[in-house]
Amino acid sequence: MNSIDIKSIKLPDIIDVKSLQQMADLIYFSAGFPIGIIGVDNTIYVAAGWQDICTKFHRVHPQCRQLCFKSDAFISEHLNEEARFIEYKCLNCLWDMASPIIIDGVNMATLFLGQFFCENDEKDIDSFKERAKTFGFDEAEYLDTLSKVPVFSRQKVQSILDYYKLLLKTLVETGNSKCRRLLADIRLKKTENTFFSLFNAMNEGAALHKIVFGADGEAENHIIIYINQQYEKIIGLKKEDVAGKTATEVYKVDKPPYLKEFSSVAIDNTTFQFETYFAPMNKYFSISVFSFEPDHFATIFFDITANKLAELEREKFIKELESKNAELERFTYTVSHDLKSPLITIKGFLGMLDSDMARGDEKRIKSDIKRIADAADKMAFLLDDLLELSRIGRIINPPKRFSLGELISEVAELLSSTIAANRAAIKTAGELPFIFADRKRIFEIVQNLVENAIKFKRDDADPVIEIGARSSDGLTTVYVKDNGIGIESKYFENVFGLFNKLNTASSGTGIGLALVKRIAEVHGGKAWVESDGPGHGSVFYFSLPEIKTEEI
Amino acid sequence: MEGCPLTILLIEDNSAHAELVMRNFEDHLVANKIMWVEDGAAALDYLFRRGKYADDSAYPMPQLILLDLRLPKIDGIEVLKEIKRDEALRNIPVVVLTTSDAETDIAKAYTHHVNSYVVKPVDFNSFTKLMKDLGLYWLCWNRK
Repeated sequence: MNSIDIKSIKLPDIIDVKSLQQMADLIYFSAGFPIGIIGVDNTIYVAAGWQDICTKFHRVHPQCRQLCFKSDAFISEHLNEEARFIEYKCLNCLWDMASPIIIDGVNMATLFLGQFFCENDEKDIDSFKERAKTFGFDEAEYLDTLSKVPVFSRQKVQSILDYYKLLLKTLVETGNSKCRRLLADIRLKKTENTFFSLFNAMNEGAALHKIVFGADGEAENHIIIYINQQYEKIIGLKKEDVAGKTATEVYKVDKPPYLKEFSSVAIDNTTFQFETYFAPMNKYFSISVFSFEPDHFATIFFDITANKLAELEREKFIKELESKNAELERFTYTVSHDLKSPLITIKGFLGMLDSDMARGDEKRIKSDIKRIADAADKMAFLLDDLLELSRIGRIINPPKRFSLGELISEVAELLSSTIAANRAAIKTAGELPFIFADRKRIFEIVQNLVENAIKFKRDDADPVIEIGARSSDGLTTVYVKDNGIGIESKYFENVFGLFNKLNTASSGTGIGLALVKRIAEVHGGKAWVESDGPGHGSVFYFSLPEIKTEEI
Repeated sequence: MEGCPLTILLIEDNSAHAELVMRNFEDHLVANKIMWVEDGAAALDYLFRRGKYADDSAYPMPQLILLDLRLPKIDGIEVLKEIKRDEALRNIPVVVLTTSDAETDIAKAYTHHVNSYVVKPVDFNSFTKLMKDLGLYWLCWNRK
């Protein structure tokens, strides 16, 4: 990985090539020493005093150029890595000296010093004349350029070499550290890129925050520093809308959400995971919080609304199922108990009848038969009631909109003889609403409640029954208030139980209020009773979900 | 069976069942006196000598209580709890006599220290035998 990274680094990234060029120009100008710095990819970084004999003759002619190339190849093959100059007389008889520029172990370029002659070189003019002839150079011109090739003493060459060795050493040293810095930067950039692509590719929304402290040193808000794309998707806010803003601004709330949890994570450097209902968005989230630097924290969250709603729904269903099961259990219990009871009576008195007949006890025989008949009747009633109760759960007539007032009048008419016989008065209070429900069943409720109000009248007062209604929270609640015997609070639940009777002497099987409750529940409502106790009358209520007129 | 000076308190809301129990006891001379109350409230009034039940000679303390579970006003388990909570009353054997053979009812009764739990048989002969045995066991055989 390192080598890939460093190959992307070029010499000019590390060393100020411009200054090097100026230095080379100055050296050439003052000392006449030619110089070149050529990258491994043959890019010329620095060039000063390159000789016309090379550039205009040797390297131009196709055959002669081959000699140059051979010389180049020799040099590059023999460049050692210790930044020691190799000195080489080229195949065209000029001196060239070269050293690799190796930075952080990578050969980046070659420094060439040349071409030139040394003072003690045997300058064999004839061989150059021969070369001019061989390659067809203009001899006069060629020899003229040859005369311009600088000639240095061996001592001078050595000084220049020493100078460049030192320069190279310095260059490589600064280059090394610069290169390392660059590589570190590249690596950092890479890590950053990895982080941000991961950050943005996450399925979860994520945000980085900083705690804002108040004058008292207490955390009072948090600023959102950075968010990922999924955050934008889930929360529906753009980066530019949230970055640098406080939570209260972003979510348009008075108090920053989860300040206590978040600040404790940011300050104590802990982690925290929780599920929550986020009211400003009406959604459920699972949020993980951790601190990535002091007084900062990151949140990673995902929307669990669908799951949560499904869970709530499931819980609701389970609860409903449980209550249905409990109801069924109660029902089975009640039925088995209540149906068994008359059976015991019948069988018992049949047995009694046997012995009474043997004794010829007419009076007993008669009473035995009555007991048997009564029990049989009771059983018939119970079965009828049971059938009725089960029918309510199964069959519901299509709901209709009807006037409660009219329904009450009809109930009063149906019960007119009972009402008259008991000198009862039925009155309605206030304006009575329209109701959207199974009319026949609501009629049964009202009839049952009115009958009960009359049945359980006080001995010392004629029954006065008041019926009214009120609406709230999407429910219409109807009440039937009487001045009868009243009920102790401990029986408020009991009276609605199947076949439960507070008063054994009263007529009926005890199914009436169970029916009332069942009808209300089948409609999605409730039935209950309030009373200030014996002698203070009772108020029976039933509620039905209110349906707005437009929906009908 | 003479020599057993006995009073039974029958707590039963079903008058037909009450009559069956009482006639069985009479036929088999199980008890001298059977006192019958129809609901839980009356039963407690009787046992705690409240209201009209204050008269000790007319309403003597029973040696055996037969208790139905499903009672109007105050149900059988409540009555049982009250009896077993009271230091003077808790020594009187209480036999639950009911139509219910529901496990929860049986468990609840024993939790509240019932002395015996008996389900009313539908068959007449069994019913008769049960009444006879009950009376014999609790009033004569059982030592206190």
